[in-house]
Order: sequence, then structure tokens, then C-alpha cells
Amino acid sequence: MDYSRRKFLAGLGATTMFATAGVAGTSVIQTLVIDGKRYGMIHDETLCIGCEACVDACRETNNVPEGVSRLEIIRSEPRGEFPNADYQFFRKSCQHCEDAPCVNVCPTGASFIDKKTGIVDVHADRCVGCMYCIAACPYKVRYIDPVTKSADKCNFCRDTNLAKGQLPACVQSCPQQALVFGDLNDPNSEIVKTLQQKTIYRYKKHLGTKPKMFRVPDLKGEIEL
Amino acid sequence: MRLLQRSLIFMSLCILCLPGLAAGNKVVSERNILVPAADFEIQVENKAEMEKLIKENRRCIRCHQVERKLKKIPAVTVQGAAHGSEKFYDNCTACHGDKGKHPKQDVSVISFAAHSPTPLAQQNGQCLKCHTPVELRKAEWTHDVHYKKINCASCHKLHDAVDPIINIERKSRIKLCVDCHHSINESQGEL
Repeated sequence: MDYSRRKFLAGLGATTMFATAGVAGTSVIQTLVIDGKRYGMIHDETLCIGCEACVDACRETNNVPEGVSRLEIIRSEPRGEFPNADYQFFRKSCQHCEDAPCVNVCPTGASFIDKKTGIVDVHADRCVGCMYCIAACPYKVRYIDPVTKSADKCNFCRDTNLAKGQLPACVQSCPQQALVFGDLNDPNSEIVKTLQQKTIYRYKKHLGTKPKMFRVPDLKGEIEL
Repeated sequence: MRLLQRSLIFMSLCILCLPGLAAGNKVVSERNILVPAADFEIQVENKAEMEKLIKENRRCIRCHQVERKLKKIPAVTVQGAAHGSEKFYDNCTACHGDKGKHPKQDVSVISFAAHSPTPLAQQNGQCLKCHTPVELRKAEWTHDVHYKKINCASCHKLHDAVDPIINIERKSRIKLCVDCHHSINESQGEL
């Protein structure tokens, strides 16, 4: 037997690759089966007034430090001329994808989909801060928490309000009832009924991530010829 | 000698930079406080008109410097912010219009309030005489969406020492949005 240094190193590399693939593989398999609830949200852009009450409520409830945010409301450029101008509002936050790229790329299993609720969440203790998930997220909603140094994002208040049996902070604070939160598996829930009644779109749906954030488009205008 | 040369160059550089800095500061302050170029000149063209204007304003002040107890109209003693500036000082008619038959007929004077007999469009139109839509949008985007729905006096108080809505804190601002829109929803669109 010829044990050269070259062969030893090549063998070591192969073993490491198998090990990594194994860990990543388990995290995917673990997260694919959702039993119980499948939480989703609707942002009705026709009702939203852009007051950002949700942004502040989220920050307070989840102790989000200054400088980062789980939730943003992005205001469009004005549409039309004064005094008839108006604005469109877009909610930038985690979409809770069913096929979440952030979960698929996480090397430590810190990013996961909660099997009981379908919520995409992060184990702060497991996160090593490699920022792979931040790069992988097509919605650009993840950040590194400056206090815990772990990746973080919206988790529908899973550990705060939801644990207490309350609605997420943003839904509670909205003065317009523009946010609807509920179980997509329950045919009698408000969210399912709203989905059946209103025109809905999902952001970057073509990427195949199956986002569970639904939006009622605030569209108006004419076709210019 | 060389030292002198160097110091001269340094000083000239400083002088060149100073106006730039000053201009930078000005932009910031203008963004916060809306100051349009408006004064008496917008209303008058010659000396005779100016005298008439001053006379007209004296008539307003004569009555309104004290409280009108019968109708509980508070005394007008201060003029806040830009509207209290020297150029604008004591110029009631610029916003309220000529006295006309006031107080015998209230309608002749433009008053600024939610339940004023002056129509909403006319009230807000008075403000728009000086404040351009571009300036308004730059200062606050919500001007665009509220202009046709509520009167400017709902938020702005020009007879207070400081206009309470200017430089409002983020928290109070959000509370204002939430409270007002909540009450609209409660009353189903009728305020």
C-alpha cells in the first residue's frame, strides 16, 4: 500500500464533503414536512396608509436594535400630480417561504422551518454568522443582529406575541386592518376567506420559493397607447 | 518666507471652503422649516395700496388683541414661525382676506378651522398661494394625500408660538396617523 501525503489529503477532502452534504441534507428533509398549522399573511396595499405603526410595534415587541429592522414599509414615488397624487406601499419583511433558500443554504441548521407552524425562524445559538442566508434570501430581509451576532428576521412574533396566543405585533398595531394573519390550512380562517375574495399577488413568485406573504395590489391608472 | 506663503495658501483655501459649508447648513434648515418667499409685496404694488393694507390690518388688531368674550374667541397675541416674521408681521389680510362686512357677516372673512363656514378648498387654497406643491411634497409627503381631504389648520397652528406639527417626533407622528385614521374607520368615512 502506498500512503502518500497527496492521497491522504484527497481522502480527507472527500470525507469532509460527504459530512457537509449530510448535515445540509438533514436540515432540508426536516423542514419539508409541515404538520399542523401553516401560518401566512396578507398585506392589503389598497388599505395601507404608510404610517409605519407596524414597524415601530415590531421593534418594541421583538426588541429589535436600532439600525436593523425586521419590517419596513417602502413608499413608492408619487403617482399623479398634486393634489391628486398618491403613493403605493410595499411591505418588506420575511415571506416565510415554503421552499426557503435561507434554510437550504444554512450550514449549521440554525435557519429552520418550524414544523408546527410553517414559520421560518433562526436558532440564535446555532448561528455562526456566516451570512450565507443573507446572500441567499431573494427578498433581502435578513440581517445580523448587532447584539446577538446571529442572523435574524421576522418570525411572525413566534416567540413573543404568538407564544402568548396573540396576533403578531404588526397586525395588532395596524389602524387600517391592512394585515391579515392566519392559518392557511384552515378553510374557515379569515386569511383563507380573504384570499378567495381579493386579487392577490406574491412577490418574486417565479423563483419557486413558495412565499406565504400575500399582497393585494394597489393598482390604478390607464393603459397609455 | 516659505512659511508665510504656505499660510497664505491655507487661509485662501479656508475662505473658499466656508461658503460651501454655509450653503450646506442652509439646505438642512430649509428642509425642516418651510420658508417661501412671501411678504407684503405679494399683495401690494404701490404705496397707496400698502397704506390701505396697513389700515385694514389695524382694524383686525383693534378687536382681536383681546378675547371676544361673547363668542369665546381667544385673543390673538402671537404669530408663530415664519408667519410671525418681520416681513409678515401683523399681516392678517394675507391669509384671512379683507375685512369686508365682518363681523356682521362672518362669511366675508376667511377662517381656518374644520367647522369654518369657509369651504375646504378655499381655506387650503390660501396656503397654496405661497407654498408650492413641490415645497410641500419635499417637506412632507403626506401633504399630497391630505390636501383635498382635510384643512391645513387641522395640523398647523399659526397663532401659536410654535407650530406643533413642525419637527414632530416619530412616535407622536405615528400616533397621529393611527388615531385619526382609526376614528375615520369608526365613523365609516364621515368625520
